[in-house]
Amino acid sequence: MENNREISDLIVDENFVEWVVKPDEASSHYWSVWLANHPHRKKDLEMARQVIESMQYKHHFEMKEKDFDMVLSNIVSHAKYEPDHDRIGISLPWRRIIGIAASLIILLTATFLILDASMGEVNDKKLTKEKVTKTTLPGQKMTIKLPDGTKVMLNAGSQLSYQVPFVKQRKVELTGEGFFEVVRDERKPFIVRSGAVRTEVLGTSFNVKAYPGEEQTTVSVVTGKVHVSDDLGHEASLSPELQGVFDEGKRQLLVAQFSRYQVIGWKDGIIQFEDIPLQSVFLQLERWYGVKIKVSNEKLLKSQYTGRYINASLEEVLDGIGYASGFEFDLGKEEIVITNKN
Amino acid sequence: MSLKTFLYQHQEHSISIGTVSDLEIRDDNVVWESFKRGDQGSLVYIYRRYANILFNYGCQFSSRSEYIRDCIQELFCDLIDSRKRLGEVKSIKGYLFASLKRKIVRGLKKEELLQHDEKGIELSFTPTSLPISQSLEREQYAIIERKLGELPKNQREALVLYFYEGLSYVEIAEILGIKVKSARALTYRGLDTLSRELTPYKEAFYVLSLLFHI
Repeated sequence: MENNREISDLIVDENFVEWVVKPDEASSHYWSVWLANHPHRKKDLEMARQVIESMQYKHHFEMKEKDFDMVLSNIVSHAKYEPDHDRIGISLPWRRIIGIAASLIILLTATFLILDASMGEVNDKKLTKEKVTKTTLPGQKMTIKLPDGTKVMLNAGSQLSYQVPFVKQRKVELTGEGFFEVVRDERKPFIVRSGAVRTEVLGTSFNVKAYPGEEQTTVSVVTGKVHVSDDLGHEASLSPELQGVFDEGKRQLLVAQFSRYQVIGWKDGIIQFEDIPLQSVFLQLERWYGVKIKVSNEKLLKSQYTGRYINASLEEVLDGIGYASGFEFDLGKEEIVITNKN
Repeated sequence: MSLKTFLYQHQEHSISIGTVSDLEIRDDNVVWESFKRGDQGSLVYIYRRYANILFNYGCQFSSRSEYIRDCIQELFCDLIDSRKRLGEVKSIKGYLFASLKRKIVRGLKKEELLQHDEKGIELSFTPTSLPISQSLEREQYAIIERKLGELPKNQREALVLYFYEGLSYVEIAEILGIKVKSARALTYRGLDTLSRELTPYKEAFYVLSLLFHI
């Protein structure tokens, strides 16, 4: 008993434990001096050390080497680009998904990065190209600042990817919807690829909407000049207030005017519908708020709706539309169920 | 040199008295301050030094290792995002452990949370060096292990953080979300049980300690 008490004073001593677990010069010096002053405690010290070293986790886990490398390269690339953009309302599980999505792509360039980073510094000249992908889920928006200073606001359920550094061109790929404010650089045209549509500008602001599964891709110009072309060889030059509409089914590229709020209101929290069938209204709300909407009566989907909401909650919006279109809704856990008003 | 060996070289250390510590181990304060200024080398260093230690700790709470991996990635991304606002840190390891645990627990599924509440971290009492495993029979330390398993889960976590991870009472308090005084008391109680369990084997330990010349 006495002996155990003797080791107790050592094992409750944080400094002692710290020395056993991670000795450094100072602690080693301290304990050798201590031992010189307490030679009779030699055995205690050794026993205490053994006890400390015997304590372990029952199960040990180790990261897979490829995971270890992948996370490191994701972190390094996050550190390089993060200060330039702010995230809006991105929840924890979502950020995980971005991480995984991004890592799949970044993994390709990971080895190079890691080799570089292991020297403790990253030399930009040595870096070849690196692909960056930014994604938003339904219900989320994100502002991205590109290396050239161009600002992109990504709408819900969208993805933007690009290779950095930009060399001769500034090329990005978009699925979903984004509003671009392109910094002018005449030597390096800015190109947005979205499905079959290619948008080329020098320095302007415009909106591109190209959600998969939707027949139309639209490019709507706010300022400056924009050049649009499609894979079928159609081309159009657009000036402000004009919109290029590429219709996949009709295989046409049309130029039309557009309602500013309806097209780009989203970036300022404005949601506007002008004679839009409820089917499209609900689709937009699903994306905007990240919800599922189920409509019990198919006929309802055909009726049209006009209205505008500014920074409104989903409930407020549904209240408004429901009032005008004569339906009721139930905010369930999994989905929102819409039924005709009796 | 692969990343793994690099990491292990960081973790390895000589236990004998008087050894100059691994030069690769850098001072926490210096590393932290340069990390806050945006130095990438420090970021990479912190990751290399702690990622696997954090991973092992995290996996004690959930069997979904991909989830733990992602939590670690997020933890580092959070650090990067907030580095200008970060204060001084006494121990990087303690800070990372506490942040990671908060993150993990927040995202645990209900059933995992229940399971964790019941089970907690499982401990093993396994002497790593040869002499002690010869002196103490397998059976004997299996008994110690079982006794350790009967400790309340907070005590077990405190013990492993204290003994295995080498964290201080202040850091343990932060990780467990309790007062420093309670962390100390918790660890003491665990140690007390351990001492009582070890008493019957004190002879074995003595034989052992004679084998060592320090």
